[in-house]
Amino acid sequence: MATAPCRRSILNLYSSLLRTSSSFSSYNFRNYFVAKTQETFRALQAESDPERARSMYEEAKKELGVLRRSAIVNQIYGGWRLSVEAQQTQRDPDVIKERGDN
Amino acid sequence: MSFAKLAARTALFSRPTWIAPRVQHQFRQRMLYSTGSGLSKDTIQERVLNVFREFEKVDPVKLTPTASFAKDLGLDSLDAVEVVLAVEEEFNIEIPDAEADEIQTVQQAIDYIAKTPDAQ
Repeated sequence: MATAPCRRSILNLYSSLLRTSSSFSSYNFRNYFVAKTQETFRALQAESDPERARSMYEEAKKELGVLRRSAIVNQIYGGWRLSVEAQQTQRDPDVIKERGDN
Repeated sequence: MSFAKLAARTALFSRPTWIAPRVQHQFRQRMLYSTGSGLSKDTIQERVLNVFREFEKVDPVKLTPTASFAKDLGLDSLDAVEVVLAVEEEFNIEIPDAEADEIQTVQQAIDYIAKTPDAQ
């Protein structure tokens, strides 16, 4: 009999996942994983079956490990900044991200 | 060839060497470790409120410095996590989970920034 994960551990996992997702340096990956995390946790919030909630939680936890590793690799081999990010650069010109493989 | 002759020749034909001018280092003080955060209470409040205004689920009309996330702004616990992360990003800090859980009102967020020395 699986018990539902406690509220605080879900929230902590949520903030770690969001933090890791936003550490990707590629705009597309970053936004995709932030949106995906939000979607997953909305679904988890709506889930009433404790067993399913537990399995979703475990899956998200596994995902955090994968995301952390991929984020590091992505920080090394970032890729060009997209033009959609130009606005952000104007706001803080000190931040210069460049392609990692040149 | 004697050493004295060699030395004389070398002196005669040696090219003038370029002496690097002494670089005047101009230090710009970037961080004052000994002082507090350096942000005034008003600046912090303004920036925190701006973060909340940009958060799409917050109704700007209901936004006041004393508003509570759940009661006044209608944010649930997941939204609260997101908004606290946005505040972290704005001030370039990382709030530990245990303390982030405690932040439930806008005022608490402002107070946390005010007592965090490396907020910038």
